Amino acid sequence: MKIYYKLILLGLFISSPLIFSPLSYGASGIVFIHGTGNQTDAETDYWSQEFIDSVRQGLPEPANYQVINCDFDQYMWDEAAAGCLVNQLHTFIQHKDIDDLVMLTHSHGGNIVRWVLSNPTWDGRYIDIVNATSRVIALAPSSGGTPLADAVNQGSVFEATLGWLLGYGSDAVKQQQVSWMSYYNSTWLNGTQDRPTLGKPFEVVVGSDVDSAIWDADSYCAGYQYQVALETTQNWLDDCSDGFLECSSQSAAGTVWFTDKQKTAGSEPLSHQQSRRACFNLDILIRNYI
Amino acid sequence: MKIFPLVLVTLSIMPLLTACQDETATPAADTQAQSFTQASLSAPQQGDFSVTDVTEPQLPPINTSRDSLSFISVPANTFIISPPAESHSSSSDEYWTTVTGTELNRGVSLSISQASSVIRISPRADTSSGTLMHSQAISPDKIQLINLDNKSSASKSSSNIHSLADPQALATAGLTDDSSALTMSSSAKPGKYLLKVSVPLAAKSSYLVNVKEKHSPYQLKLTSKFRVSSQARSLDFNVSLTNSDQALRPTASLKHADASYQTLKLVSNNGQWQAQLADTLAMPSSNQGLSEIQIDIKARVNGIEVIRTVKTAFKQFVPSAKIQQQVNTRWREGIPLRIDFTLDIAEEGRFALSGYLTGRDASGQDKMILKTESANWLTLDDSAMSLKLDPQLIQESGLSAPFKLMGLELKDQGQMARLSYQQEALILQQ
Repeated sequence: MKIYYKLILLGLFISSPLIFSPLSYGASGIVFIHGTGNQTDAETDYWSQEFIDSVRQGLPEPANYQVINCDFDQYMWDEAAAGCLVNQLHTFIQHKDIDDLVMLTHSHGGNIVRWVLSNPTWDGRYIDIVNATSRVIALAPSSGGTPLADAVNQGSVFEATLGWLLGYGSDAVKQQQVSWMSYYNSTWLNGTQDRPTLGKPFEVVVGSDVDSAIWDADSYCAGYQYQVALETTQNWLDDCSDGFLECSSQSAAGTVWFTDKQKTAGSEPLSHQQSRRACFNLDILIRNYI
Repeated sequence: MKIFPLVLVTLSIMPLLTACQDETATPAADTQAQSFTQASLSAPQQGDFSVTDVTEPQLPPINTSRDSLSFISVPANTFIISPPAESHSSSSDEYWTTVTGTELNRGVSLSISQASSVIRISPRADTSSGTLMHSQAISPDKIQLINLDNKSSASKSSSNIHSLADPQALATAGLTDDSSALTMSSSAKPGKYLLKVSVPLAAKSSYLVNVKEKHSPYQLKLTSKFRVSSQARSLDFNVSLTNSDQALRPTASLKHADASYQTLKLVSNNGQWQAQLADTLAMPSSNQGLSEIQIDIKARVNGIEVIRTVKTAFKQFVPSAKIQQQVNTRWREGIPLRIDFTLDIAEEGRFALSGYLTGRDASGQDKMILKTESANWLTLDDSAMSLKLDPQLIQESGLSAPFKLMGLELKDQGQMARLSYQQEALILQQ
């Protein structure tokens, strides 16, 4: 359903070309926003063609979609992260005349979108995106961080330097430590309890379990190969988790649209890898929802 | 069709928003019906905080944008304006320590307080070649765990281990730091164990050894503040161990976002701890990221040695600005149009103000009308900022005077720090 906004530009102290004109758009569109990592072909490497092609059929014009490719190994406010995101969104919005933008995020992508929606005065480009956005569907967002990020950041200076060089101790991983997200949620990010709302719906799909039994074929929909590894990492997580994020972290911001088993085919859980793939009708659920 | 709340946006690139700071009664040609009033910010209440002495930041700012931006929105009617949280807590059922390759070859003594604990070994730095290198990952089948309290089974490492996970497998499950791990058997007894690696490791290589004891009754809880000023000489914190009434003897360290690391001296004061911040290296080397305080404890509870490490993050900031007491409000036909502030700053930078406008309903209750926020690059010559209001939104709210500015917040976007907050900042009176 198309969502309409009433937008008014005030003041118009126009002395710069940095002016946005959200009144001129008129179509619906969806963007796929990946999680932690530096993506150059997220359509193939992060999501999957099957998932994207299925979800976008829910649009009146299925061609109105964009897959974001940015460096989400950086802090969320970094030009390579949020700056890259808003540039790609702005190009998409202008090119397709979008005024009804659905942002579909996975994992840390939800934090970067919350950063943009929460800080319109940080960067003039953000305001345009805020105005065009109708809602955010956040798949397994790392809103409250993850203890696994804490685990890989344990140690002191040399360890961290090496971690950075090797790519596993990125700033984005640092940021997703639990106490770091607690600070950012209290100061710079809206949408969590006792904080201002985001101004746009932030609807969360929660992954609550990992089905990794070796005899269960469902485990192999983008699933985990190593049951013993999951059993190990579960020691850092609550009993309700998608294998990477605790349910409490995923539901820390916005409102829960559904928790996997409530709506998935066969009431299957969605692991953190499965919540960005066409597993157990997730793609169809989103398609029918947008 | 869904109708969304009115969203008002103003984008201005000129410092015109601040041009009327010194005006008192001389209306411009296009603002003939406008008037100005001057008032003082209310006295601070409990939960409010601000800067006392403004200090010049030393580090490059994160946000150097010169754009003057304003944004007005309508918050959800369920939102209640309240002071931001001052502190947060972290709990831990684990500990970690760094050891050398030599120590791992010889054997590292570990205290285990319960069965089914997980021991993770993560390669960190290797400086043996003279340059910084990554220590080699350890194949889990080279790891031995020997119970030092049970001599009869001392050589039967396998009996203490339930499962092993290699770095490749753990990476697929989210532990992406080349870790190897073992899960102890459910029959393993609490006590002292010797962790050994049978493959020769470089002497100067280093490894992080992490013992995780999920669902342990002994959780170390740390509570500390979210923000610490550069003028503070200590960091207050509380620490407690569940199911233990022993007096704790913690050690503390400070870790910056660049991972530089220093031990902190501790002082105990009526159950509250103070970590003394040394002058050197007390502040981070960058405005990016956060600092962490890490607490380590070792205690004997019910005959079992319990070791715990816990950490939590906070923002170290320079108190770079404060809002002057006198503010001007511009009015038209009894409706406030904007509020002008002046900031005391010690150095130019990008600052942001935000607040909530409320009005009174027929029953005498204050209700929220809008949120207003603005940000600008301020200089020593021009440190004025405005919060714009929207007369249409105010009129459509049906609310009337007295209007109040609530939840007034000042942030430094260069440091990414919240500098001040005032719950009931101003009563707007014409």
